[in-house]
Amino acid sequence: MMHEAEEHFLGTREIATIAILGALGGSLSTFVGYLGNLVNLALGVPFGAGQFMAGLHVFWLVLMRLIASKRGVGTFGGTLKGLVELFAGSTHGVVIVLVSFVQGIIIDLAAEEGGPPQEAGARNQIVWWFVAGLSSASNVIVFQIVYFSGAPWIYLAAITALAFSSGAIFGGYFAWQTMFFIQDIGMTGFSVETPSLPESPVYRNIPAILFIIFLTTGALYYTIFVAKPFADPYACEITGDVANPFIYHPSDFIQQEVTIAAELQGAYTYIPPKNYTGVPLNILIERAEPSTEASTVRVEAKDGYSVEFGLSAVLSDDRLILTEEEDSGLWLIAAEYEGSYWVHKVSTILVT
Amino acid sequence: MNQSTGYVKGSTFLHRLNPAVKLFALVFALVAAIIWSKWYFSLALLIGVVIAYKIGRIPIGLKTGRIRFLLTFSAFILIVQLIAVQNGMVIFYLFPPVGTIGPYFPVTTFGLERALLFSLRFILIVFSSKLFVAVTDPTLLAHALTDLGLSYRYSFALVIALRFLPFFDIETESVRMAQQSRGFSPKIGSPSELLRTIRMTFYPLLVSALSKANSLTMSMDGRGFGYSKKRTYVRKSKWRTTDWLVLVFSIGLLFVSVFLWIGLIPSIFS
Repeated sequence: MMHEAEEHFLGTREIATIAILGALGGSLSTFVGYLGNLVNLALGVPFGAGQFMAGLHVFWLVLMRLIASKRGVGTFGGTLKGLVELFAGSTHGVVIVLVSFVQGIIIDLAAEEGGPPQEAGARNQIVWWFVAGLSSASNVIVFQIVYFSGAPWIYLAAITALAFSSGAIFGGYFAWQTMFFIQDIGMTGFSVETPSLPESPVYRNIPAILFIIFLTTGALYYTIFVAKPFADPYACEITGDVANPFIYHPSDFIQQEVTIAAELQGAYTYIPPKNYTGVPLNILIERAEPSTEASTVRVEAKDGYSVEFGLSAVLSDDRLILTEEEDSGLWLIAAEYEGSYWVHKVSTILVT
Repeated sequence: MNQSTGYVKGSTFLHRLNPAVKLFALVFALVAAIIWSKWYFSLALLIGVVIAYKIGRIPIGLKTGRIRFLLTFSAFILIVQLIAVQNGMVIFYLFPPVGTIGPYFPVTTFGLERALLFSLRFILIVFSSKLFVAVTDPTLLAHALTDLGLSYRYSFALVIALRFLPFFDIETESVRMAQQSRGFSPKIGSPSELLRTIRMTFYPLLVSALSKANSLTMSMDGRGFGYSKKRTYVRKSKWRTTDWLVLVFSIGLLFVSVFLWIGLIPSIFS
């Protein structure tokens, strides 16, 4: 059997351990996934509320990677656990294999930094918590790719943060505690010295303090520099095949505002003629300097809706304006077009 | 928990297909549905899946709790999308005008398209996966994967994992009863109570599982598992002409969806 151990990437014991943990994790995760969907339904959201339990899925992968501390164990274990969930009747179907596979890859890629459990120290553990958080959060992205819901980004950011925290706690902290427990009863096959921290409360709680600092800093950075939730909601990007792409803010174009009377005529919606004040789209397009090859203008909304106009038609139309809709966002008033061309919550104007 | 695999024994055309082909067909069809995101395409695929249920003589189980839950969830996705999306032509209002109140919650053409797309895609993914599981013998799947070049050591892990599912059912029940007999009642009122409950119920289960892994390792080593590069099988998956046809069809489906997406094939509905 020594000969075998040298030849194979994973020994028999490691394969059996991964398979058994995959079975236990897969069967329990199916139940957890079902509970998650139940929570979503109860709270009236299509997805996301169950993310507070997302770390319970990653827990198994971290535990496998800690016990069988070799590259690739996370990916192999993740795929296996996903297949078990599929066969056990996961409510996500075959997508769960992809989710679990990606979580395993992340653990494998990032676990190198955390090092093997034999080198357990406060720093290593925090790295592992972070890795588990990332792995857990990845499920939100994979589900978005597959099911693309068009949910508001702030909601997606919130559930990603929730999944990350759950991953750090259940997949990071709790997985390590479990590993120490397994080691205490002599089932890990290796010895890990439980890191002893000084008795002072400050030192003893360093991991938790660092974790909170990380979450706070990360949340502030995301809020201020990435998400900009406090930025003007009445803004849209004018981009595409243009020499001068820019972000449109109504306040920058007050001098160019016009008032037109328009009537919305839809099959079931009718708004009688009334005045709308806004900036003509042709002024914004000209400011962006479209290339000579450009021929169309696509107006896209935050919910994924889009309408397309000919560039020449837009440039010659003074009754196609962007106005500010109360408590909503930018509203495209297309006076010369039918109701479906009046786009709510405009986010992007793409010249192609 | 009550876990076991959803495989339903049978000898229909779908049961006889090579498991790897079924897996590829499932993945290709779902990727196609994601690439060409049209509700009618998802609906066409879903109708194909329902027909496949009939061919495979697999009950869809509309009256079972799990399927009812999935359909309820799908309807919920549909309603949320209908309410959330306001762009497009208004078809009608969920809350029509009553006197001077309303109308509220317009249902638009775009909102309806999106709602149908997301709910149908959700049902398609779940039902097609359920069908795959129902007509695929896990042991033959492991062999089919080995046939494609995966080391039998790793494909065997899938067989082990699935075979142990019923065992964990029994173990979970044993642990629960053992804790009850000791007067332990699970509490989840606070994080510390939750962690304590998890420790008290979950750790015994984990220890039992790892003990099983140890005895399984000895058993496998004792039988010379991994000694030879090749492994013999009592039951093997086979490649037939129909497998190739199904594979070519599913690859074709994937290509058609890509061509439709990039506009090389004009959509008859656009």
